[in-house]
Amino acid sequence: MAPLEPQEKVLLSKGFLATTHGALACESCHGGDPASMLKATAHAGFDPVPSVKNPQKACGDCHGEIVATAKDSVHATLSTFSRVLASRASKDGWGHVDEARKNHCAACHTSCGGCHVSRPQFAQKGFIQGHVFQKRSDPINQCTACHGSRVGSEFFGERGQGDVHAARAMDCVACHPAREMHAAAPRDLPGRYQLGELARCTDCHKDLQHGSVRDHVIHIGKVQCQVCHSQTYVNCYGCHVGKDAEGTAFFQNRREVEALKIGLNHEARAPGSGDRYRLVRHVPSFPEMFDFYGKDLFTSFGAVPTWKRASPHNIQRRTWQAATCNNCHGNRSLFLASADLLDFEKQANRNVVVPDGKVPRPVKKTRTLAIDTSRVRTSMVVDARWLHENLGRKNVVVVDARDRAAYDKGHIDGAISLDPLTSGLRTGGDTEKPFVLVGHTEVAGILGRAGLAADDHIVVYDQSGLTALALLAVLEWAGATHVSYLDGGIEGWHAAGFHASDVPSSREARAFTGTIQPRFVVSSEALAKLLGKPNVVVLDARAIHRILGETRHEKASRAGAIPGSINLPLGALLMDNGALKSPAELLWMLRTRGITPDRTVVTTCDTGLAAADAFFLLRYLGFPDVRVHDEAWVNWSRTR
Amino acid sequence: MAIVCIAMSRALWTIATMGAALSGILGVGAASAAMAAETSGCVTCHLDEAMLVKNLGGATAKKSAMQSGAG
Repeated sequence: MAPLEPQEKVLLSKGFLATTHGALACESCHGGDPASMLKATAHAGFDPVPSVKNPQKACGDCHGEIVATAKDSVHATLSTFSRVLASRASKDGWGHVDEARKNHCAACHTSCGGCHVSRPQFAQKGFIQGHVFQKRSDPINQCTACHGSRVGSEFFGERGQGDVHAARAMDCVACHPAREMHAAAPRDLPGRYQLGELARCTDCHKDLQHGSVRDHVIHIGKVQCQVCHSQTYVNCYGCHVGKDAEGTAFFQNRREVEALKIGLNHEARAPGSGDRYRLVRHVPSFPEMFDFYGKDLFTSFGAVPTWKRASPHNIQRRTWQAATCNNCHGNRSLFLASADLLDFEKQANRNVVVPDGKVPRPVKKTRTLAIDTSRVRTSMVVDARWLHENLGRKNVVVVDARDRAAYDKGHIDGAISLDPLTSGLRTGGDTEKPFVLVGHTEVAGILGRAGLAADDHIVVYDQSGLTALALLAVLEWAGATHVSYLDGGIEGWHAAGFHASDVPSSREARAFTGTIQPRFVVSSEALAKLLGKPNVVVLDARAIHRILGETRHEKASRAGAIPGSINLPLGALLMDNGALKSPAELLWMLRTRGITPDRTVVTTCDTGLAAADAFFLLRYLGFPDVRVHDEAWVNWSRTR
Repeated sequence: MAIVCIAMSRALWTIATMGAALSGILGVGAASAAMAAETSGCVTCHLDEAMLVKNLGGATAKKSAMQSGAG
């Protein structure tokens, strides 16, 4: 979601005046003094978000029936937050807990306006169509403006492959209609999943237990749909809250882990929740999270699980855990174990942990996936342990591809800093042809001045994989002969127990004499000639909202996608922290999209960055003919 | 600028008052509402992007620099 300039947030469109709402006097909803042309007096008594404080007054005169229930909806009241917090809090400490809830948790609530006319308060507000009211909420500017990290990122493929419903251009309201959104939450509602009007898969996918899909017949009623149909999702740990020196409330979510865990259903009595197994997500609660407001506030912390029922919005028809029976059956690591719990949460999750005896046993007869991993170029990826053992070896050069500020805070000892986004390897965003590689001579000069030689073993890492993999692609194109990606990046390094250094390192300039590999890069002109050839597949690594044309890069002349390209968001190929999934899983996933090593694969995206990342990963997986469409959509859209 | 604003304010006030009087004479509720909106000082300013840029320049979102991680 692109940020709005201050004036954009409050700029009316003339079209608004022609609407029913535009015919109303502004002050009838917002207050203020319309006769004044002085900002201060015009806004005296003005309420920018009238439906938050008094939905009945703001909207109820005309929409009385809706407001009657919507004012008590989960979105408006966040009542289930209060219920969960109250069940953990001590009686004496509730006042402090409630204060923290109001300052932090309640910042997320919204009312009529946040879904129908502007971005919600939590998302910094602002009209989305010049104050024109919309019956149907905008998925980008409204729904995922708040439900961003866990829902938006996963739905649109900024983490994972995205959701099949998103790829079919279904918006949020398609599954979550007014009936659910406007429903009043009963006072004693224990959690949002217990809302009777909640959307369920079976609202559309009916009668599965009598259908033709064998796995549905076997599993339905025992396993929540998402267990088989979700991908990995983010789990959060350690949300600290407080107020800064200026009194502004903040939260700090200290750790995020992409994973998938199956837990036992301990709420089998909840509506539509009779399954034995379901996905669970770690929520960021911990006993000291509200310590800013008072000590020992959560004396009953164990009353509610911290591994909470999850419904990730990243549904795929085929997933790795369900690709074959024994990817799940007997796979202990998929099921929540006591060992996954932190000390303070063992009691809270006692009914969610799946004991060894309840992990489904392996199936004797099952189909095999026949994935050929023999071509994987294993030396192109190293792990933290390998790097630790080989640090300091002659010709092993470690490059930190994060920005300089991150490098200065702490890097792998001996690593040099080379940020591919700012080191001049690519043209700038405001040039005639933005974001493309500069000439080979210039690239070789930059690499040489950094102290790199073409025959060094160059190991590159970063925070998420995005810049490290792109730099590796440039190195391969420039003629480096031995390059490797550090699996899991700096986070993986720390997780392995290795320390960082804050002492900057540099190397003497050398001559980078690699031989350019022009076959690795394809221009838009050349790509246009390849389109439609049966042995060529164009892999578009952008998020789904770009493919659908719902958003566009600011430098692109229009939204859209290259005709015939296949979308596989980069997030499908690597985890949040830059860790790689197994080669077998990656090859299987690519195969499900028709991307196989016997074809020429051209990778593309908006600016060439994600395309370069995908290029390197496909090279690692052993694809013999991979090429980067370096000009990418930004330049394609300007010329075609 | 302030003088101009005050002058405009008086002019708008006059228009608004006349509009209100006229709608009372005609007794057409919807028409009076539409007129109220169109002649409102709120609309005049909030359709004027240049004025908004001038008045809101430097306005920043209230978000703590200490905030981090997924919300």
